[in-house]
Amino acid sequence: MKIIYHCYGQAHSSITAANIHLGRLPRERRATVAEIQRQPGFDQTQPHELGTPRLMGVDGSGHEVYVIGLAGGRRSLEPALQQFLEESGVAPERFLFANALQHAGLPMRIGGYASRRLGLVWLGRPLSALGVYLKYPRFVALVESIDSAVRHRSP
Amino acid sequence: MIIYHSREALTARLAALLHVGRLRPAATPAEAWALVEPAHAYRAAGLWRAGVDREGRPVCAVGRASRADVTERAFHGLARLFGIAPDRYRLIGVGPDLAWGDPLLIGLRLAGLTPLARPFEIRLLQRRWATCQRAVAEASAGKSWRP
Repeated sequence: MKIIYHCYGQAHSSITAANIHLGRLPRERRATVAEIQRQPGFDQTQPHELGTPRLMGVDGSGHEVYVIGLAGGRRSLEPALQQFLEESGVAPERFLFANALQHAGLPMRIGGYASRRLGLVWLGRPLSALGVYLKYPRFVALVESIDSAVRHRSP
Repeated sequence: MIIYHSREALTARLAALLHVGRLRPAATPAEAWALVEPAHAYRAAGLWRAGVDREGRPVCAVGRASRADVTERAFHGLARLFGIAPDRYRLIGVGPDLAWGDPLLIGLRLAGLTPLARPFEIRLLQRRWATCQRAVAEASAGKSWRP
C-alpha cells in the first residue's frame, strides 16, 4: 500500500506526519523544536515541486509513505484523485490518503507562508517548527489513526 | 478518460458537457444553467461525470481550487506511481487560474441573494463560453490545450 500524506505546501504538516510514521520522529513523547527543524524534508519544498508526490520512505510493514502538496485544492482534489485512481483500475486497498493540514495551527500557516512564499526562512522556519511542536500530539494521533486504517484495509 | 479542470468546477463542467454533446455548441450561456447548477458547481469536490464521448471515452470535470500546474503534476505523479499509462487519460485545463468573481458570487448565493448573483453569473459564463468551446474543439481534435 502507498500512504499519501497531503497538505498545502508539502513542507511542514505532511512532512512531519510522514516522518512520525516512518519513526524518524518520536511517538511516545513530544519532539523538540530542534528535532522538528532537523527532520528530513522540513521546510525544503520549492513552489515548482508542489503537486509532485515525493517518496519519504518505507515503513516497517513495507508500505511506501509519500507526501504531496495540493495547495488550496486539497478538499476538492483528494476525492478527485481517489476517483481517478479507482476508475483507472487501481484497487482501493493499494492507497490511502491522509489530510495532514487539518492539524496545522496559525503559527504553522504564518511560518509556512513566510518561509516558502516570502522567502523569509529565518522567520518562517522556526515559527513553523514551533507550530508543529504545539500541535505535535495531534500529528501523532493522525499517524496512529492511519496505522489503524492500514491494518483494517490490509488483506 | 478525459478530465477537464478549472479553478472552480463550473467552467470544467461546461466544457465536459459540451464535449459529450449534452450541451449544444450554439446554446446560450443562460441555457447552460439548466444542466450545470452553479450552487453545486462552484466548489464541488471530486470528479463529476458528464458522460461518454463519441469515441467511448468517459468525460469528467473537476474543480481544482488550486493552480493548474499543481493539479496536473498531482494527477501525472500519481498515474506514474500506480502505473497508469499516459495514453489512458488526458487533462485539459479551462478557465482562469485565478477566478476572483467566483468567491463573490458564492458569497451572494450563501447570503440568499441568488437573484442578485444570477445576472453576474450569466456574464461570467458568457466570458468563459468561448474558452470552453475552444478547449473542447482542440481536445476533440486530439490536441492538448492549456489556458
